[in-house]
Amino acid sequence: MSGDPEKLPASVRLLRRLYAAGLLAIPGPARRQLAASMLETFEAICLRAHRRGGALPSVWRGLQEVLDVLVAGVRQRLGADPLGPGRRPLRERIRPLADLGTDLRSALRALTRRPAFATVAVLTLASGIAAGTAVFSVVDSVVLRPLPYAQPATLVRLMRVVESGGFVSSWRSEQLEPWLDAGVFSAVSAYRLENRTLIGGPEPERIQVGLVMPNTLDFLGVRPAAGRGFVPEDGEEGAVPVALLESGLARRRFGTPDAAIGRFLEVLGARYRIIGVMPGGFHYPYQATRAWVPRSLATLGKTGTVNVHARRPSAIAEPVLQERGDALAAADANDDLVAWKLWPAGHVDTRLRRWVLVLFGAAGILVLIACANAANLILAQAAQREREVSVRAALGAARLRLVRQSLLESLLLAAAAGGVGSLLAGVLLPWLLRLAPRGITSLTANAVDLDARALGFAISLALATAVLFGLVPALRGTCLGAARALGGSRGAATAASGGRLRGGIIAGEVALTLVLLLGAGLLLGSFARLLAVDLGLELERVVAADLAVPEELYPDLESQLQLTERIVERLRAMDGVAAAAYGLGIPPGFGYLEFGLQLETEAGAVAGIDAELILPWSHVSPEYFDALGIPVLEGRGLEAGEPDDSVVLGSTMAEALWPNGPAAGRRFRLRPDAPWLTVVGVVGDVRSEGPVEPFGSMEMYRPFSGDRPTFLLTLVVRAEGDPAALLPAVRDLVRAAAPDVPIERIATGGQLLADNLREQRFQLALVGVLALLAALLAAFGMFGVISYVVSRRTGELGVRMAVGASPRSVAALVIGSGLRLAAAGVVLGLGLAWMLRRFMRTILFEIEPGNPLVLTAVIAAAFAITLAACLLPALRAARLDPARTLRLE
Amino acid sequence: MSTVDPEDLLPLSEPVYHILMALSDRPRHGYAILQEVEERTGGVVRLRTGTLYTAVKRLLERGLIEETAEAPPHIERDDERRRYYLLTRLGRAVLAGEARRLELMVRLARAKRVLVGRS
Repeated sequence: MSGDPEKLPASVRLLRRLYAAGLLAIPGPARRQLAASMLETFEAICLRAHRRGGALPSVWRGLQEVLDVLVAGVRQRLGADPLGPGRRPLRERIRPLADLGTDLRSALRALTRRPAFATVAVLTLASGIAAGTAVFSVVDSVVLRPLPYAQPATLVRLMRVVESGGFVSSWRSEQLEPWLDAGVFSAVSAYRLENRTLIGGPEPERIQVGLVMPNTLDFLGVRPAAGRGFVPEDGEEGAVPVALLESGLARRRFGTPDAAIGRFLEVLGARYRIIGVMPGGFHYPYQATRAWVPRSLATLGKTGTVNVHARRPSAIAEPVLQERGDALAAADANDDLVAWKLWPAGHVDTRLRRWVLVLFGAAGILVLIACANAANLILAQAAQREREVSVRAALGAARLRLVRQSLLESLLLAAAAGGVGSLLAGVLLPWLLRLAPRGITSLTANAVDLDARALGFAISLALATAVLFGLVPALRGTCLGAARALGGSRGAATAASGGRLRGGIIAGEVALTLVLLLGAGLLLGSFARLLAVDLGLELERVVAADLAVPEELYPDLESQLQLTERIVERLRAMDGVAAAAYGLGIPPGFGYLEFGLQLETEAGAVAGIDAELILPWSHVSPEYFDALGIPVLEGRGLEAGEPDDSVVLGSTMAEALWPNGPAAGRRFRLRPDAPWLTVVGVVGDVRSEGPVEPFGSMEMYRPFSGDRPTFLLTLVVRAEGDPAALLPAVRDLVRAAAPDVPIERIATGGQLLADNLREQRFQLALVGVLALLAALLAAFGMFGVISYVVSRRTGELGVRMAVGASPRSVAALVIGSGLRLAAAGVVLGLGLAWMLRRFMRTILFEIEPGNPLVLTAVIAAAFAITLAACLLPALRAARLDPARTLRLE
Repeated sequence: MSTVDPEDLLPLSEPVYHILMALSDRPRHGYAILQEVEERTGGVVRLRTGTLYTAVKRLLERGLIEETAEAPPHIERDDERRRYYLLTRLGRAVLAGEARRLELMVRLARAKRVLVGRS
């Protein structure tokens, strides 16, 4: 039985090789000790089997041995003790728990011994948690969470389809009656929104009041926070007028919800006893609704139309429902109920949804970078920790215990990060919301608060990062074996692979940062272009005040206009006022939106008009164009005493109607059945909705006409100097001239424009902040990695300097390695950005994702950040004393 | 090495028991241990090299067996590179303890008529 390989049969030789490979399953130190014996024994076994029965039995035997060695090896690695469980006295069984206490304390000590590392790791993870949680809370509220009513999925809006194909939400009560008990809905609730002027406070205030059916609260499945809800008798005619208040209004007027009960809500023309206050966050049907007053459907129907919410019954099948509804629609003799449609009650603007997802993406990137940095930090400590762990393993500490201690450290880090992160998130969220466009908080029926799920998710992520990367040194340390770790050399192999991993992480961070920076840069460019758009009017000197003239005091248009004229006269006489006028709103966002147009001139139908056209138009006073600086291009503006059918067109509309020749004096109508309108003049186009023009560029202006009072009158003042300085004087004058008229809003033109661009500003601010944070984190991460690399290579660098390399070249070497990482990251980032280009286009304004200026700036920034991060380590490398480093090796 | 109470190591796993048993009468090398166990148990217990040597390593660590490079005088014709293992005093004590434990178990089984008759 000699061990001479040549004398072995071929099959045994092959098996031997297989067995030798299988030996790798056994952990290193054990393997080295035993390999020789094991191979010998294996040979002996196989030879004997071969001698006894030939090749086949020996192969079979050999394979069994290979399998056994594999299993034994794995079990060793998993920490199983071949000796057996052994008996454990009671004190040993209790010890693990006491051990936990000591382990926790030593984990804490281990962290406090490295305060810089611990602080930075905690802050890094915390910033990721905070950003992720805050943004996700917003996203969740807006996009994901359902309405805060019972069974929101069954809540629908009943819309009727009119002959022209449009969807209308308003119903006449007699039209609605047949639907109530027809077995189409399990419950129905109708309402109408009206404006009332609230008095009894320091100033009159216009509030939106919901006239609702008494069953509304039950219908929605909500209860008041204080007081009681409505009963059916409350809605009858002649009942005592009662009201429910919105939580914010109750608090503003009465202090606490309970204090409001039994007091009175005083509006012009009515006085309601407050019987209850709704919980905070209840805004039905809109965020602006401040009070609810009960009305039976019959009463509602007598004075106007209603909007309808209903509950779709789950027990009835869809086709049956459709049939019943269709029958009802067919039975209606009028042509304003051609068909019917159910819309889900919650409805989110797709544009809003889209860019909320942008937010989500940006925050997600930040979280990733934060976790990557934390991982890097932990890995940076790895080499050191490995050594420490190996020493303790050599001294006899159980492997499980060591791993557990590592785990505890990671858990402590994650716990601290979670605490700090939640606090940060709580601070971040209100700031986010304050910047947010109106859309965010008005389209949701919920208040946006910190989402527990978001917090939980972010913390889990941080935990996973900490644990995952924290376990690495512990696992590696206990495998390495004391001898090697204590051997003095810095474990070159593990350092190299660790370094590559960390470098890879950094390149990834740079890539992600690049994407964010690119996004921010593009949004900045987009915003700059928005600001530069010529709106067609001069807002820089304008002060505009929205008056909510109450119908109760001024019951017809004439009295309203008289009041307004009086005010405007006094404004004109005021110092610093160059011009004053009034109208129904001013751009951006004014007047009415007309749709369903079929434009006709005297020559016939106008060709080339988009059937989907939406036309903004408004009522204006004669000096309106002057006050707003809108140039009159043809004919004249409106004059006092103008006939009702006069019209001033924007130039694009005039062009569209009469492409060859003047428009002044010509006639047209909006639809074949509409009255003829006479054009008296043409003015320059304005961007009626602001720089981002959703409706095309046509608009028109008409004088105030008719008897019906208008719901809004906007005073327009052009200041000679700074409008902001003039604003208080304007407000005081209006208050003095009309103390019983609420001023709904007063602002300078600049403020109005800023508000119009609020959404874009918010996007920019947010992505910008996230990008900067990301850049900061990535820079820090880069700094960490390069420092690590330098400390690993001090030996090599020392040698270089000893053989004549200048400090400058050594520094250049270090910076070079950093720049290489950055280059990899930039390439990766550009690839990512290229994949996202189509999405980016949807949120940008007149700027391409590949804009060369922005791209260059961002790439330059990435390299600049890298340079800054590498500076300190490079300097440190340059100052190395070759003699010292060589001695240490 | 701190003093170890043999009782603390009980019960032994089956492979370890048989390895110690194989070494109880004389020092052996790895292959011989495998053979001995197979023969003595009539082929019922078959140790493989993986199990054997990982157990051997652990036994060495715990001081239940020792390694010796010298071939004992009565072994002939064997490769001088072979490592021989022999039982230490501790190992012997542990083995005896396990055997006693097993005997106790068998006596209990007999008393309760689970095992009938003498083998």
